[in-house]
Order: sequence, then structure tokens, then C-alpha cells
Amino acid sequence: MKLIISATSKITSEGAYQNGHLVVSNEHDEAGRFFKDCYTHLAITYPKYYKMDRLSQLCFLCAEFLLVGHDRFKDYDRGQIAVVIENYHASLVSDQKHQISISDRDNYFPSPSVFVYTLPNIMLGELCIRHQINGEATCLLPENKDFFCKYIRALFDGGASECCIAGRVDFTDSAYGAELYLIENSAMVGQHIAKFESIF
Amino acid sequence: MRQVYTIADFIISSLGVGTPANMAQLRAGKSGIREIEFPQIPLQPVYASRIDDQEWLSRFSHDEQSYYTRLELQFILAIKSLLQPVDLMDLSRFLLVISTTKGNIDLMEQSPEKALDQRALLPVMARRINTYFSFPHEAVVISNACISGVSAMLAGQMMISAGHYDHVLVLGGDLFSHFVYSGFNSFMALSKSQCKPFDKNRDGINLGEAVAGVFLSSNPGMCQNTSALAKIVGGGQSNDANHISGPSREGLGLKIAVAKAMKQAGLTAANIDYINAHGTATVYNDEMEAKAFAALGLGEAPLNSLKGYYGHTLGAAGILESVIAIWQLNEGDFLKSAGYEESGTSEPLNVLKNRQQNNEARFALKTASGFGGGNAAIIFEKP
Repeated sequence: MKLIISATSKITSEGAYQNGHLVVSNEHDEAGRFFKDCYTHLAITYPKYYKMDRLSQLCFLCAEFLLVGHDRFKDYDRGQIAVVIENYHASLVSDQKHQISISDRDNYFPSPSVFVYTLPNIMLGELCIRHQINGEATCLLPENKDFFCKYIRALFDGGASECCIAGRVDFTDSAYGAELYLIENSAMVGQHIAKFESIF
Repeated sequence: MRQVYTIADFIISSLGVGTPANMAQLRAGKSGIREIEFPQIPLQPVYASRIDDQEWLSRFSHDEQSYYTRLELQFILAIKSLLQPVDLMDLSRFLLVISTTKGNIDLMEQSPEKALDQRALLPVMARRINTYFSFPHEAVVISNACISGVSAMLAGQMMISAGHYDHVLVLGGDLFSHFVYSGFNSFMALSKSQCKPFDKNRDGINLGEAVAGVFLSSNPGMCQNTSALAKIVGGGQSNDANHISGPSREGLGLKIAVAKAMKQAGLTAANIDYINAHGTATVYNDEMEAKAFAALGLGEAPLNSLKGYYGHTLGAAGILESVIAIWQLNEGDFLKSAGYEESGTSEPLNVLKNRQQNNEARFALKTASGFGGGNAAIIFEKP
């Protein structure tokens, strides 16, 4: 089976990119303000976005840029779409926030809305809710292109998936980045923008 | 596509070190859950299952004990035990896959506002373990919350089946920590006593601590203990796409995952002889599972949950419970579901109230569901 990349998106501290083209440039020092610009640019209304931690917001926005106007994606059997995302720092920022809230034993009131984001796969769950994806959602660490590519290929070859959102999303207070790809079977797709092997 | 087998396993838990020690305790009906001393926590009583370090820590030198974290030492012990029967293996065809939710989270507790101890990062922990054994391929961590263990086994199966590796050692573990305890407590998800999966009076989970490993291989001839040998005949994963911290009410995702696993195995519901459920003993989880199993025609299959023995061991759970499922299947001896007395789900299930002998049993289904909306199912066949 020949796999291809039919769409890409990327968010770095420089800006947000769709299929390689800059769509929002970053004018701010603070990630949250840049993310807000991206959200505004996308012209969407999704109240859950405001409850998410920065890692999930970054993943959410990158997936929005990936899937905007992608009609064929909507036609896939929802159980046959997989999401596989690599990450390095897991949910570090939310972990630290939760840890600080419980480190004072006399003021021991952790918030469930913080705790729920102390898992790196939550960003995948958010993505599945947004795009009604019922296939496998797997979070892999660390960033390891060799394993990652073999894993995605095996998902297709074994019949577990017909379409996959794949990539890397990582967020810390000092650095962040997200890169997502829509991977499809070439037999299903007339045109593509890159070969699967050119991922990352 | 190549057939994949489980050929060896290992457990460190509140019920002992090694799978035979754990099986002996389980058959005697012993639970590892008890009221524990956890003095810094302002919420009492705390019921949980914890590993007794006196049973294993002395196997390491003082240097090792000061260099490696407690969880890393448990992982290293498990790998050493699992590699014993397979020392002639070609390591270029070997991969280590680690299933964990929080890894060395205790290091963050010691210094939340100081500079981060890098070992609290999952890839750093994985690399330290890999370096101990000089494994040539970088270890992979799978962190899919409560389904991580089953996800990791399915990843191993898929990679061997596709021919990328011949052997995958799948290892799962998580610590009992303030971090996780306080979080589950904030969700009001913790039981006030020993948990009661699927029971009418269930009131939440117990947290548990365990490390469990299983050796997957394309070569069943390497197996030295027939109780550990099983074929992995099917697997499936899904997402509810419903809520990040609660299951789909109707078990939508679980139904998809189990249906995928049965399809891959070429089986129907009538073929499933035993279900090892996720069964956390929260009101919503167990109800969701009952609905999904009923809808799949699995309501009559003998079923138990091991959470009443071990609590919820998070990253270890899927592997620990798969290992116990395989041993039950191979020995034709199925455990009673600890904590269960009276049905507490809207759809009836065949929850085992007593130990049951069935030497004819051939196929076992193991499922898991968790935070983030994930579900996973794996089917084992007695060889």
C-alpha cells in the first residue's frame, strides 16, 4: 500500500503554516496571545478551547489548520481514522501547575480541571471530540521518526486505519511546536502534496 | 502478517514478586488493597495497594539504588527477569516498549518549584533503562492514560506482525503518588474502602502500584513456561470522542474496540470464553462496560475485574491484567471477581462470584478504557 501526505500544518514561535504557507505570523512573546490570534484567524466558535491547557490548545489549533476545507476527511468511517502524535515533554506544564497546587498540605485543593490535563493523550482526546474521530488515538514518546513511520504504516497495512492524523506536538513554557500531517492511502486520493516518507 | 505470542511474564505488585507468587495469592482470595499509612495526606482513610520494597530492593547494590529511581529499579528488575529465558536473542530485532502515565512523578513532588529533575521526563527515564541494558533500539513510551498497557501490547503485536521486530518486551508501571491520589480525589472518584467492581454498592476506585511485563515474540519455541504462553489473535483501539474525563454513556468506543478485535481474530461473541474487564468500580465506568458487552452479545461470558485485588495500577494495569488473564486461561481456573456480591449494572453480566474451573476455555478478551476517551481490546488464545 502506498501512503501519501495530503495536507500539512505547522505552528512554531514564528507563525502558523498551512501546507507550507504562512497563514498567521506571531507578533507576541506570550504563547497564549499568539494562539488567540490563530483562533481568531480560523473564525471558529468552540467554547471548549478556553478550558484546554496550552498543550491541548496547540494541538487543537494545528489540527484546525490541517483540516480546514478538507472535505474528503469528513467522508471516512470515523472508526477507521487514527490519531498518532509524538511528544517529548508530555504534560509538563500542567503537571507543574497541579503539583504546586498540592504541595501546600494546608491548602490542598487540586482542581480537577487542571488534573485532567496532566496526561499527554488528553490533547488527542480533545482532537477526537472536535472532529468526531473514533479510531485509535495513541501518544508516543520520545520523538523517534523510525518507529513512528513503521507504526503508522503498520496501522494501514494491518487494516486498523484508512486515514491518519499524525505528527508532533510539544509545549513547555520556554519552547513549543506542532507539526501535523494527514496521511491517506494513495489509491483513495487523486492528488497529494508529498510522499509519506518525507514526513518531518 | 506473522503470528505473535506472549512467551514470558513478570509482575511486581502488592501481592508479591513474580507471576507465580501473585497467582498463589489470587487463588487464595487475597487482595493487596488495604488501608495504608500516608500521613502527609490530609484525607483519611486511604485504601490502596502498594509494593513492599523489602521484597525486592535488596537485589540492587547501593550504587544502583542511589543512581536509579524506585520505579526505574522495578523496571530493571522486571527486564532482567524477562530476559533470563531468552539470552540467545538477536538484540537488533528487539524493542523495549514502556507503558506509563506518570513515570518518575515522585521526583517532581520532591521539588515542585525548583529546577525540574530531568528524570521526571518520560523519554529520559526510558533512555536510562535502555542504557542499563545497552539495547540498540531506542525504547518507546506509550502514554494513553488507563489503556496504556493494552495499547503497548497491541503496538508490540503490530510491529512484530509487520516484521519490523522479532521480539518486543512490553513493560508497564506507575507509582502510588500524591500527584495522582490528589487528582482522583478531586474527581470524587476514590472508594472509601476496598473497591467493588460491578457491584450495586460500588463507590469508586482504589489506586494501586505495580510493574508488569510481558515478552512478545514471533517464536513460541522460546517459551519456557507454558502458563505464560498465548497467541495474540486480535486487537482494536478506539476513542469515544465524547468527553476527556468520563466514558461514553453507551460504551460507543468500547464497542468499536472490541468489534475490531473480534473481527481481526475472526471470532464472534459466542467464541469468547472469558472477559477480563477494565472494571474500575466507578459508577459510570462499570455501567458503560455492561452496556457495551450486552450490545456485543457478550453478557453471558464469564467475567471478572482484577481491580478488587490490585486497585487501578494505571500504566501497569493493561499488562498486569493481561498476564493474569493468560494464566487463568492456560490453567482453566478463573478467579472470582473480588468485591462483587450483587449486580449493579442496568445490563446483566456474568460476573464470577466464585472461582470457576473450565479447561475447555480457549479465547480470553481483555479490555481497557480511560481518560482521554480511549478504549482498547485484545484477544488471547490458549495455544
